[in-house]
Amino acid sequence: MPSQDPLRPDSSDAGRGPGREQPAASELEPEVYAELRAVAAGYLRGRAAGATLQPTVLVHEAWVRLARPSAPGTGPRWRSATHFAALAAKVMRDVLVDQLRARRAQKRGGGCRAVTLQTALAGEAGPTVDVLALHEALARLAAIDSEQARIVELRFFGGLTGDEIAEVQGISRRTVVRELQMAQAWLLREMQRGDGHDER
Amino acid sequence: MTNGDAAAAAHRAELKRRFAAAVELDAEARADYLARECPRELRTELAELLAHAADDGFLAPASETPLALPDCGGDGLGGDLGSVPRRLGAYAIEREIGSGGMGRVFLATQDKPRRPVALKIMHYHGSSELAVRFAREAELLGRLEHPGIARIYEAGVDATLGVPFLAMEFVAGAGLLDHVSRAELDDRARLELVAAIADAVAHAHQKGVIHRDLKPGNVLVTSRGQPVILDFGIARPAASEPDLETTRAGQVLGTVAYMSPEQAAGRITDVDTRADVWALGVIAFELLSRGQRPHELDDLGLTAALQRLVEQSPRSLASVAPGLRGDVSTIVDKALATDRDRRYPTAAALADDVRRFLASEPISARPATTVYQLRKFAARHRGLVLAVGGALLALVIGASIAAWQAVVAHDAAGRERVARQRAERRLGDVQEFATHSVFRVHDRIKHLPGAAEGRQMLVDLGLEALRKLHAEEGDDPRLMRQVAQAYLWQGRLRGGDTSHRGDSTSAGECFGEAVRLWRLVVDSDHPEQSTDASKYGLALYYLARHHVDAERSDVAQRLLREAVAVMRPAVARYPAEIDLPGDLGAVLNQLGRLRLRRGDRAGAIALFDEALVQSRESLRRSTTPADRAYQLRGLVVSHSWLGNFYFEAGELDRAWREYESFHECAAAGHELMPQNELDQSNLAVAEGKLARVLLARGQPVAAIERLRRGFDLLEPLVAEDPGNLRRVFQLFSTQRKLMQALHELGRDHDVLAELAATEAFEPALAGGAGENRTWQRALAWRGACAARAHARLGAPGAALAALGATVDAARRGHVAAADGADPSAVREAAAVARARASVLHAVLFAAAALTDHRLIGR
Repeated sequence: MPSQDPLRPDSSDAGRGPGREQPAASELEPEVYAELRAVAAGYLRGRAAGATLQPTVLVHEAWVRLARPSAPGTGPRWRSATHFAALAAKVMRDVLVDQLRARRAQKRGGGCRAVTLQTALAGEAGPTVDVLALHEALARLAAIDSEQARIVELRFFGGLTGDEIAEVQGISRRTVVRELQMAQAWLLREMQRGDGHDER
Repeated sequence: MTNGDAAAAAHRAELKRRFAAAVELDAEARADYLARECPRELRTELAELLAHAADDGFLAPASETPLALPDCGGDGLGGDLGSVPRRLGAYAIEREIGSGGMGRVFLATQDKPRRPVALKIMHYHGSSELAVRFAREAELLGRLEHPGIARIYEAGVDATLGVPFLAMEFVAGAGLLDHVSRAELDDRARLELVAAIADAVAHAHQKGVIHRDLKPGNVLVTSRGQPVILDFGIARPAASEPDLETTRAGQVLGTVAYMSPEQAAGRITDVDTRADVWALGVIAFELLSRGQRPHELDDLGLTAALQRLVEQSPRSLASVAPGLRGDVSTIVDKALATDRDRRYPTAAALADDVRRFLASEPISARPATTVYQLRKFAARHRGLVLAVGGALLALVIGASIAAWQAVVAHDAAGRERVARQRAERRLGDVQEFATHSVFRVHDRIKHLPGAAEGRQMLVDLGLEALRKLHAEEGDDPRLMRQVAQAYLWQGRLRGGDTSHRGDSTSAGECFGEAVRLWRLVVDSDHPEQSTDASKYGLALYYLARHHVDAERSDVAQRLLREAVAVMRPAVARYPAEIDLPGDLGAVLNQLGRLRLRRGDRAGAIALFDEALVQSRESLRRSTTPADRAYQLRGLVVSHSWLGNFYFEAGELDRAWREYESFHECAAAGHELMPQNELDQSNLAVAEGKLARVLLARGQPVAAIERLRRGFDLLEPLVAEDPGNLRRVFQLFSTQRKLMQALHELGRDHDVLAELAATEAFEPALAGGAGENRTWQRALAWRGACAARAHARLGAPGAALAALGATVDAARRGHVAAADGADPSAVREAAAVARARASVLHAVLFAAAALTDHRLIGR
């Protein structure tokens, strides 16, 4: 069953099939950047330790903000939330990494734990992934396989489902699953190798 | 691309392929695979990757990848201010007095002039463009000078911290809601407060400033009772929107509850002073109802709440505070009109009306008219229906089709058999989706009041989806069945029995297409399904009815015979098919009706009797209330036609018995399905039929009782869906008979009152029914009755005017009957003739009255 997210009413565009145009990232990026930055800052600030956060939520929040009134001269210019989320994934990554780095610099030596991603199901304490380490490993992955890295970005920072990634990238869902499976293994191995960021 | 790149890409592709193959294997098989099948140069890397492979993990589809936030032990401001700063520019900060989604507010003291200020520090920062816009807006707001608006002293960006801030008048006061509850204000005082807040907003409107984010949290009340609006427009530093505060559970708090529908819908260009009027309306509602709001948004997520604001009309203040019914509710309801054109244009107009009420002067707002309320009602239910169906269904259908097309496209490349199977599964999925979602949703909502448009949309969606599939895979009989079924629904919605929307031409086309597809299915060698006979038969039935309505009896008869030939043998063959006998019964009834028209009395009775037998068989096979009610509807039709037949033949006792059975079945159905409008209207029609016999027997008092009961059943149905012409006509007929009964009792004033009530429906009916002779006849009867009443009341002029239209209607009814392609429309012609006779009688009446009048005049 595809996503039931009410934020995505325009996904019926998917009916047009694989040939759909890619988001024109460059023209919208500054605005999206500012918005996501604000949203992410608002969330990261003032959150108690242990509070969790999903990139998807941030992207949705930004979507609501940008598609809402009062942004002078702006309007919902994205065909769908999927389109928007795809566009936002890269920006989200930059924003999160920027802010986490800034925070880390500020708190250096202050006993601050790395920002990590919980990979366990809710409630259980499971293995975690350091976002900054992931970011760097992802940069290395992009050097050898940019499409796979992009898929990871869409999944992780954009919160897109497999179907949505397939739609945005114009590939099959099966391919998405395979690429993610391999990317995950590759990234885990890479992060284990260069464990330099974890201050624990 | 250099050779090195090409080699690396090839290496990568090979690695991917191997990984995908090996990851499916268990540990042992993997080792085996690595050792035997994997090329040496890939072996190490592949082994490492496989060691890290996991079914779940941070990229797995199921994982929600929450971000665990760092344990910095910091406070709310986190890394930016670290802790509460002691100074900011020319302000010495004393303590924090509030915080919100966008910033924190501190009590501070300004150096020069020395005064207390409320210092708001924005969370937002980092963009110089934002800071510029922020400053520009602050400047604009600086021009606002009103006791009800907190003054802005300074807006800027702190040079050292780089944080935008705002220095405002410090208002010592209580929050609006706190104030009213603590001061125990009565309604009058609360209204005065609303007017005072509206004054302040009006001042801003005059200066061209719209607040856009009015809410009780932004209003303080001073000890002197003066409300002061804070955060005038500043809550959103330029580029953003009213802040959306969400709790961890995702519940929406604060702002959204005060957001106007146009804001919630994101129609930015529509946001003007009337958005503030809306917010004032919500505040008034909340103050006057002691804490309730026009929309119930509790427990809704953000998007659901926004959706409700857009799609649902607010409830009336009177509905939660009955004591305020009348002017107060009218004023608040007007501020809360979903259509902003119906609101007060400005806050000043709202304030004026509140003051007029307080001064006991007539207010300018008028309660919404009945028609308007009806429309709102329908819109409300449409909203519900759309909420159920709309976005989600469009999404799912679209995605399914895309997936299907993708699979079809891949087919071309090869691997036909496997891909083919997969494609068929997909096709099955989509079909199942179409049936289960679209038609099931359709069925579930079809008895909701006002659901017609939503249903139409759902069926449109479903049909569109199926049509697309049909175009790709036209020869699949399973698909053809579904498309045929979708056409049937389409036709029924456009001009069939479930909701007569008067679009009979396109309905006929839909039925024709359904029949065409069914014939293809039956001719194909695809195995027959147990439901085929019933569905094919019904498609024929509806197409036949369409031809009957269009006075093409011979075509209709052919189609009905085809249906009987399909259905009759299937009844015995499929004893588990509950509906089949009853559906056959419907076909037989229709056929009997046509026989009767041709004067074949014995043949018609035989068909009606068989229809009764078949419908009872279906009733016997049914267990659930819905099924039983459905079968009872079939019995109703049979009894109705038999009753009509005996009535026309002058056999009043037999007619009465049939109509009584009709009434009994309809009452049982209505009891089983009290929400079903068809059962409800059937019961009303049964009352009308019995009244008809009573009138013919000269018992107008008993007839009136029955007709009133029918009227009470029909009226709410028409109110809910005024577009359903069948119901409107039934209501019209009921009132027409009521006029007749009243006339016979000599209650001519009441006759004319009923006449006036029926006139409201006339345009809709005339548009939908046109030259239809039943309608013309009803018009003629009504006109004759009215003319007689006028005449008897000594108003010959009015009587003659009524007669003018009546004679015309009677003539047209007669022409329609005589021109009918049906050669033996004798019965119809006789009925029209009776109507004409009644008109002639009325003419005599009028003439007599006219003479009297002249005599008296002299």
